[in-house]
Amino acid sequence: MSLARRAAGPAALLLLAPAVALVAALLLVPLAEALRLSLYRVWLQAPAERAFVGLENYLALFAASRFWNALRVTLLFVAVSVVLELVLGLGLALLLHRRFRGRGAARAACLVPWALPTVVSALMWGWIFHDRYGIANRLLLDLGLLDAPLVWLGAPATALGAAIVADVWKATPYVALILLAGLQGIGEEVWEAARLDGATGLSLLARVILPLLRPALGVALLFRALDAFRVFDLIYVLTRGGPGGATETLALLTYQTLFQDLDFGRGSALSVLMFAVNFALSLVLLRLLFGRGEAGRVAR
Amino acid sequence: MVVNGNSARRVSSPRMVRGDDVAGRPAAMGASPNGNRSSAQDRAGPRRLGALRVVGLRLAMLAAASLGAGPAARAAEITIAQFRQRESPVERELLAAFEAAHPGVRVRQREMPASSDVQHQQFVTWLVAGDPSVDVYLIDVIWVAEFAAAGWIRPLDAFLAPARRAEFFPSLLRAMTYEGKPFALPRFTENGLLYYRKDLVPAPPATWDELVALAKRHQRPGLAGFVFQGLQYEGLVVNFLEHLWARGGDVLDERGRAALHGPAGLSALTFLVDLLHTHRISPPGVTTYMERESLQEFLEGRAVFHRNWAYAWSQVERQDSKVRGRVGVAPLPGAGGRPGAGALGGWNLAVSRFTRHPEAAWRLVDWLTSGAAQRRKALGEGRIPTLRALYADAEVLRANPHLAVLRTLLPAARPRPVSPFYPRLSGILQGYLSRALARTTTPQDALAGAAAELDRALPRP
Repeated sequence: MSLARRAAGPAALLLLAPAVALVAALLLVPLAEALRLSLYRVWLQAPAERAFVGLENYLALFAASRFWNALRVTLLFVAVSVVLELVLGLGLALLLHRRFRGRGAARAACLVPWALPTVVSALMWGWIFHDRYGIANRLLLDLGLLDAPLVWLGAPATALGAAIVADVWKATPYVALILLAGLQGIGEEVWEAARLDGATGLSLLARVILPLLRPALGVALLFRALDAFRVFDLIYVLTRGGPGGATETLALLTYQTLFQDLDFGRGSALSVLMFAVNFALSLVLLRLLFGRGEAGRVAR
Repeated sequence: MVVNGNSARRVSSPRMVRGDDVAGRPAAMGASPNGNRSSAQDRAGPRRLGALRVVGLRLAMLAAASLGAGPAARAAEITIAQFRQRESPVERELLAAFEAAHPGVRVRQREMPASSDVQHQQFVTWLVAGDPSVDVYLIDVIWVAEFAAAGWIRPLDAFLAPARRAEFFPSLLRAMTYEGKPFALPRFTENGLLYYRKDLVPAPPATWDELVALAKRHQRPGLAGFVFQGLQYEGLVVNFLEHLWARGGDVLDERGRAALHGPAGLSALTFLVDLLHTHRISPPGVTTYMERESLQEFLEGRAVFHRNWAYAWSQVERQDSKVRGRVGVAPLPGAGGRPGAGALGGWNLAVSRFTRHPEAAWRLVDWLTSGAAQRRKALGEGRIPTLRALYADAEVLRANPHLAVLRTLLPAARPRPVSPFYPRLSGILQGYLSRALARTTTPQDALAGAAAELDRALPRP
């Protein structure tokens, strides 16, 4: 801000105003409203109960095992699915970067999962994991890896894993696409120099590709982590957060609190906490990826 | 949207409503012989009769309207938000008949997706915003108290004449009542029932223990003993409540404190868990079933016993059902000398607080819950009526033989706790019950946890 004022004075501020107004209207006002509501008891089905309660909503959440369970499930989901998506996405990007016949078609085809609406792919995975009709059980039984069919989505031990598989299937092409763009940004002379220096296979990957791919990896990681953190539709369709909350993420809990329980105070507190965790997560990721300076700049 | 200030001002007077629905009813019922034949696709009657039926309905409506309708309800467009009614001409006929009887009133439908969670969310969003563009809502029985307490729907006591009120099963109206006033009228009802394969089991079991014994005797690979709804959602709560009530328990005591962790609750939840893990008469997959999935198993001929709502009967009897003609319907079994208890479900019409045409909106509610309209829905779509008289109607009974069972059940039908906080209560139960079914916790701990959380989350009355 001070820079702008020094450079051009009021005119610059005027030019900035529309953008600032837009950001304020679309982001800051709703955020402030959520923050305000989170300090009130707002039960839509009992309007007379409305009262300022300070931090009560937050304290109640911190005291509830359901909140901590949802936080744990969400972070687990984010960590496992994003790591898998990055690893598989990198492999896919390297494959698609090679020259081969039909590369264009292959690149287009691998975008299909990403292009499908999540609800559709979730329904599809629901059938894949169906205990009796599903192909997952069929394959594993035929291969002799299972003795009896599993109820993938009905058992706490497997339900979250199944949801992660569905998410990885869907988001890996997206990661691959970002990384492919990064690979294509690496100049021909770099490949040549690496070849002359005798870098092949793993050493090429570790010493040349990965360092140069770092910005693209960072972007992919950040986008995926923030996106996975809000996961709702996939899990709502697959398990509704069951069995016994084993797949209940923060977004699902927030939905239940807001739109089923009609507890807008507690629901707003949850939204604020989700925002805070997500914001912290992105700061940490930015710092890890781009160092202190970059993270500071983005945060400011 | 046509907004007529005149009508908006006049309609708030209930005076002009009283006479006509009482007087209109016999006319409406009397007109029904014209519309006798069912029009469900699988037994579509001759076209001519269909046309006669429409004329009959219109005459009935005209008769009803001419007796009491003033100019009040004129020049209005009213919108009814309801889940998509079946692919049959019945709903269109009913709305057309209403328009014919109320010149100047146009009815628009806003069709909602079938998922009741999605409907709830959408309705809440509109109502919080005070949206006047929907006048009549078709709502689930478990939302009536909530919507009433939030001030989103209007009390109907001023509109509802005593004679009209007396047509309904009192038990159904009780579920519509909040702080002593009716806030909705039941359009179709639902009740939990036991479906059984009468080709395998000649007589339905009277107790759950008998059901277990029969299921064990008949089940074999590919034929499960009993399928119900075990996914973590509202349906799981319903199934649990039915077991709980059959054992004389309840979720809350009369002072509004959690009571489900008593002996009845423990016995009910233990039984539910045992169905899967000890008796093994329910396949492990039931923990992923909602109504549709469990019904599919039964329709495929893969289960001896099945718990579902009354609407499932029309599915059982469809052409493509593999168990057609081999299914019996019975009340849910009892336990310990008590009769069984099916939960009350169903969909109900309420008038929005924010409507600009309360009079016209009420008239639509009145018409769609009338004997003539419910008769058409029962014959054409197999919807379960809410009026006592229709359970004595030979043709309705012939088309829906399970009404003979419902007739004995509905007078004592049991609503889920009628509370503005029911969805909250249910959300808590869903998690704990599901945990017990998945055996990540014991029934004792699940119930104790649920009780503690209920007491924290629900305000005392």
